[in-house]
Amino acid sequence: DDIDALIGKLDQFNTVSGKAMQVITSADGEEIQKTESEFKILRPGYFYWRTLPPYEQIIVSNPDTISVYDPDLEQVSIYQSEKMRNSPASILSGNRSAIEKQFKVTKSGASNDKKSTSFELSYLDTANADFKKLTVTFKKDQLASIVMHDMLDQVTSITFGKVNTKAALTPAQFEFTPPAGVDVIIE
Amino acid sequence: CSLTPTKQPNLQSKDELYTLDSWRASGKLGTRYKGKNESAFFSWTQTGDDYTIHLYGPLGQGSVYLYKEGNSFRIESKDLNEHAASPEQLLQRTTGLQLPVSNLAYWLRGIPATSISADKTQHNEDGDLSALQQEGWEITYRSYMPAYGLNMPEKIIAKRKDIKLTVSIKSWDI
Repeated sequence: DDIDALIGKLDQFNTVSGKAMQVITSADGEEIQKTESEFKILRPGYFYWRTLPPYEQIIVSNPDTISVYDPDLEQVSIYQSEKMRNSPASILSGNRSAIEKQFKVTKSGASNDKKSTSFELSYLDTANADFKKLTVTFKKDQLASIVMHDMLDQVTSITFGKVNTKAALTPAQFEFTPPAGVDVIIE
Repeated sequence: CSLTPTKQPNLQSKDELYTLDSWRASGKLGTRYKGKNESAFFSWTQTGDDYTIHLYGPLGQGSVYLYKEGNSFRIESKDLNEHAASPEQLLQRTTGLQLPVSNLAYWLRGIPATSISADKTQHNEDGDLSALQQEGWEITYRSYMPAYGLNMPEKIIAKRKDIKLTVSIKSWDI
């Protein structure tokens, strides 16, 4: 079914790295924030997302912990992975069971030239969901974008670029040690 | 002056910051309270004494809007649409964030709040506020950025008892 098709696309890469451009727009179309990030993913379970200045922030997650480091705020928060607050990151780094447990997946269409296919995901646990709809699009089997609509019709769109699925990534690259002098909170 | 300045306003003195028609500050804020870190991106858009504060997470999730319209305060998010008499109590009850909202309207601009006394003020060699004590809050201005002819706050730390608030401002629009 549709989840198999999505997993089929995701399983074509065990490692992926690249750049991501994220734009948040309000319901009336005003741009709220635009950021660029570098990311690395080792499936299943390993995820690195560094947003570049001025809104610098580093998120490193592995099967045990998720660390969020904010250099401007001099804060590091470390969470237990299972408490991964249903973040869309689990779509990219999750395996089938992780995705099945969180999302209802429907294939929402392929372009007539079969070059791009999109999947619409909605949270099963709607009460705690941050987004009412997420659309994941692949172009020629490569990760192209994730677009998220929240309940106030704010839209967060992430477009992926310089996608490299041959990067040699190892779990060791997904460990995070907080720099000195920073408030570290283990949640 | 409009938020999309056709003519960049050129402010001469900090006193003008008290009577700005409109201004917007955007950036990140973090709170540390009772061993718990909260952080959010924010934009504070003010027209006269009314303001809209938008708080949201890294992916834009958890969006919360706090409006001051005259002396009524309203908060709006995916599960809330409530009024209250004070923004501080409204924000704390609904998001857990402890923010001295009314005073922040001034502190963000690097000026003491007017309705209360300023117990201690220190200035750096450029004449900008470097430390301020008001209503039990100890505010330190760690850095400034040039904007519109003045130095506008860039990094602010505010502490009171067991709360620490860090504000990192990324852009000013006046």
